[in-house]
Parts: sequence; C-alpha cells; structure tokens
Amino acid sequence: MRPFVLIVDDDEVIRSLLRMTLPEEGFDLVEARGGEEALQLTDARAPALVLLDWRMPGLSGAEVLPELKRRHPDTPVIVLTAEPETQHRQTAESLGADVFITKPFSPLQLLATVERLLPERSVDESA
Amino acid sequence: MSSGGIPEEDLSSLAHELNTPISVIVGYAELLENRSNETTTREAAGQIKQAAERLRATVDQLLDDARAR
Repeated sequence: MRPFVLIVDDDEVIRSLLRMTLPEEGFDLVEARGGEEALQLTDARAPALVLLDWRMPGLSGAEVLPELKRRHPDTPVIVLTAEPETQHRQTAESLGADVFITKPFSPLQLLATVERLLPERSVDESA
Repeated sequence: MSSGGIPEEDLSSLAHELNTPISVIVGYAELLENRSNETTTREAAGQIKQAAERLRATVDQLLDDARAR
C-alpha cells in the first residue's frame, strides 16, 4: 500500500486547493471533511503527513491533534488556520503541531514545507 | 479583549469566514501564476493575487482595529 497524506478541512474548496498544491508522486492524497473522519482514517494506518484545519464543526483541530499524535507520534502535522496566529500558535505547538500556517497561505511555500517534512519517498511513480 | 461591542469569539469567526475565501483566491492565483505556460494568464493571475493580498491586508487591519476598540 502506498503511503498517504491526509488533508483535513471542512471546506471543500480549501481541500481542492490543497490537493492541487501537493505532489502526487509516491503518495495517495486522502481527504477528511472533519475531525471524526480524520480519526477514522488514521485508526489503522499512520499517514505520512497530515494537513489539519484548526476551526472545524464537530471535533476541532485542537481536539484531533493530540489524538493523532498519541496514535502516530512520528507523523508530521501541519496546522492551517484562518484565524490570527497569535491566538492559536502556542496551543497548536504545545499539542504537537510541527508547523503552524495561517490562511491565506502561499501554496508554493506550503509545498516546500511539505517536501521538507515528508519522509523520503518510495519512488514507485506510475505517472 | 474587545470592549467595542464585538466579542472576541465573533471576531475570530469573522476572521475565519473572510480569510478562507481569500485563501482560495490567493492560492489558486499563485498556482496559476507559477504553473501556466501562457504569459497573459500568468500576468492576470499575478494581478488577482496582488488584489487579493491587498484585500487581506485591509481585512487584517479592520479586524485589528475592531479588537483594539
């Protein structure tokens, strides 16, 4: 099974933008529309990386992050938030976020961050 | 603390509601600007991105002002 990158955001348009931003080689992109779905999808298998929205209906990023890190301590998590960063950066980092990015974000910078955090890719490109 | 009548929670929610669509505009414009092979498209995308960034700065300023009150 190919490793997967998990995108967690309740906003479909943001998920689509993230999908278009991320590299496709070597990884499957899996989407969760909320925290509950994110936890279901990571129950059995560790993602290679998680992009986690902070403010979501249902389980918030702040609730999902500690559980994700408990299950998969080595999986890097990038937190994305559209709220002022001073309010949430410290909380997110204390809960284990590896990187904290505020929206609007630069897709190119995000891509560079993702490339830096992703483990070496098993190159089995079929594209 | 905001004493101007708008509770902090509402300002955070407003920031979220405004910044999310701005993210989409800035993000797609940047991808187009960098990935399109057409000069006109790249230039247009660059202009969209600049305008959206101005809008973002204005929104940030308005929210900061509202918090300071």
